[in-house]
Amino acid sequence: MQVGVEDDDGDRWIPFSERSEWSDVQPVPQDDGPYPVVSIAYTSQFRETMDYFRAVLARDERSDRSLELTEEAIHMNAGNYTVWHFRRLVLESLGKDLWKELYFIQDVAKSNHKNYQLWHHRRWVAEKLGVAVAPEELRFTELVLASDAKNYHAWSHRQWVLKALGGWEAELSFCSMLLQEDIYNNSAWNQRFFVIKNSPLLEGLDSMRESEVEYCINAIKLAPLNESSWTYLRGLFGNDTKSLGDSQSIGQVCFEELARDRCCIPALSFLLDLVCYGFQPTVDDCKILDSSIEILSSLQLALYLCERLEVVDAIRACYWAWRRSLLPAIIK
Amino acid sequence: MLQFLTRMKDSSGGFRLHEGGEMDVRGCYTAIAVAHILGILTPTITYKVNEFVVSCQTYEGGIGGEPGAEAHGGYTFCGLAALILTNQMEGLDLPSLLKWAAKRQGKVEGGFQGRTNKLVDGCYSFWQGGIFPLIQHVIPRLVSQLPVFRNHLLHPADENDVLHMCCKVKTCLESKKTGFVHDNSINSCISGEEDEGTSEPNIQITRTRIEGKESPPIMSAETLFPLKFHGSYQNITDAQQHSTDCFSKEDEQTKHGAAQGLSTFNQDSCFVRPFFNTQALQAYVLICCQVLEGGLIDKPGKPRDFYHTCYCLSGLSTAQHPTWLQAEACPSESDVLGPSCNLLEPTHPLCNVHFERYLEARSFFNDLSL
Repeated sequence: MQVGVEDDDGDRWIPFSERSEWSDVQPVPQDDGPYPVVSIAYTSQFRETMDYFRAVLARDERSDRSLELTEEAIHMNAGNYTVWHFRRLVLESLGKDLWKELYFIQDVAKSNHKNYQLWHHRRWVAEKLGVAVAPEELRFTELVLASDAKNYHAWSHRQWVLKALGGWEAELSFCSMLLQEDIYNNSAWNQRFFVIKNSPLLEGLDSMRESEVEYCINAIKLAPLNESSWTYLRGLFGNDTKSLGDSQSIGQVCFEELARDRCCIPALSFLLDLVCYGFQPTVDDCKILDSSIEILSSLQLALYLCERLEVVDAIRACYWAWRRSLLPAIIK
Repeated sequence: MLQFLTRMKDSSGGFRLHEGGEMDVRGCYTAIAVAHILGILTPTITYKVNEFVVSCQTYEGGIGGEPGAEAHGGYTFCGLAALILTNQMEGLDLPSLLKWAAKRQGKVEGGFQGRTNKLVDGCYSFWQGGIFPLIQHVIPRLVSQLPVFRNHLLHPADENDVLHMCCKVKTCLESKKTGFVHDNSINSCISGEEDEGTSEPNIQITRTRIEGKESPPIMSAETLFPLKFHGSYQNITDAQQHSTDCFSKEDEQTKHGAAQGLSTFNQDSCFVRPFFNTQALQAYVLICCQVLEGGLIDKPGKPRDFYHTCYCLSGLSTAQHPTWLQAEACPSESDVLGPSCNLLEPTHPLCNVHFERYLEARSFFNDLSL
């Protein structure tokens, strides 16, 4: 926005040199060194605002006018972390009401919802405000997620809030709600795992494994090609590959899906992993994969699955071929 | 610089991006990569980096920005690179990391997505594509983490058939050393044929029709850039020997635990095949990510910017030079899509700078410290 042009509120931007309240300040130009390369063509408005910012930064002036100046500078470039940092120093020195700061952040967030500095600032404010702000933070992230259900910063902030300030009560159902809206939302699946593992209100991964497996299997049935639910199912077992390999019911999930769709890639991939963990289906189960051949050993099954995946998941043929090449060698 | 990096260091092992700034895996990587080039990778800098990065690996296998965050291509590259640079690989589940990364390549587009069930983006050509050369570099450690595979005979559902089954199995095992079923009536994807030259069977991969369901051909990266297999699988112990010779001394400790099976080899040139479809990735960048006016992009319809220009090109270079076995050595084989004028200079797999510049910088700062 150039000098003389109106901003959104219809107010003409006044150069700092014309603002009487800034008359005592000598602006500090940017020091690009003696041989500047790729000099940015700043607008005069931007340049002047930053010149005045550099001035208050140099003298470490923690005043109301400094605070307003950081607000202007942030609106011009929300990525300037030096400005955000200085703003924090000023807020602290002036003992400002940080609840009001949340409104400022929300306002900036409208056009900068993926800005690292903004979210870090929010985290700083929330930490200062403490446990009382937790519901507001959960509301805020929910609002952001409503327009972008996978906003990485929003999810990170939400996780931080839960761990630092609490508010776990409704989180699992929040995940379920999001998954009901979009079962492919991998961020929601990740959050679900986060809740199961970390919530002080729940009994932990091991205790909840059975119910989560059931949840997962339902999700698989609803959308068999959805990678998220298969990966989550694997994730529930962590290092306990023995339980996975021993589980006939989970193995059957694979065969059920493959009976419906012989090219169900996630099912083939999962079954391969199960076999590597010691799962032993019956010869008849394997007929589901291909009725014309007889698969008599788990090695043969694993080799077959790799071969199959090389064809039906051809973009990853190199990876599956490599998996196949390993099998005879890592056999015991 | 060392003082600055030390100030940014956190007790958790991570690094803040700036004073009072956020702390995530990017910070770890950028601090460590800079320290590495400058030759100031001190114990203070490297302290507990492993703990921090490993804590960011998720159940999916990829790495998130912070502990608990979703597995993400950018952070996965950063985390893996940071651990390789500091030689602190313990505790990282490499097989699941590789599997996660391999699954991020889009079958239709050929490019990579940053996270599961999200759209592909040209910049992930580097963040995700760049993971594979790093994995190649630490393959013995990955193989040492693979579960031991126990071969079992499968039972029939009907117990009365057990005798019949046993006879069949015995016949099969006697006919083939490797235990593959070799029966003329079999319409299998595996066909084993004796190779004249070697005593081990030469297994060729043939594309056979999958009984029942055959997907109609569609315009997709997968169908346009099928992977061709030229070579044979060499004797496994030879492959192991060659691989262990290739790997750097840092992997000494993992060699003992490494199982025999490693990357696939061509008998002639010992070319190590990359784990992803390099041709399809190059195609995505060249065909979908270029703008007429110059510059590269996320995906068609997006505006150009320097970030996407940088990482699309970095990813293109990585796809053209996908294998990196020895530390400090330039990626060897090149695999260019289109005319040879498409070939870019190789980029350093860990620092993503022109390989020659990297060597010059390392040498320069090394001399400074002497």
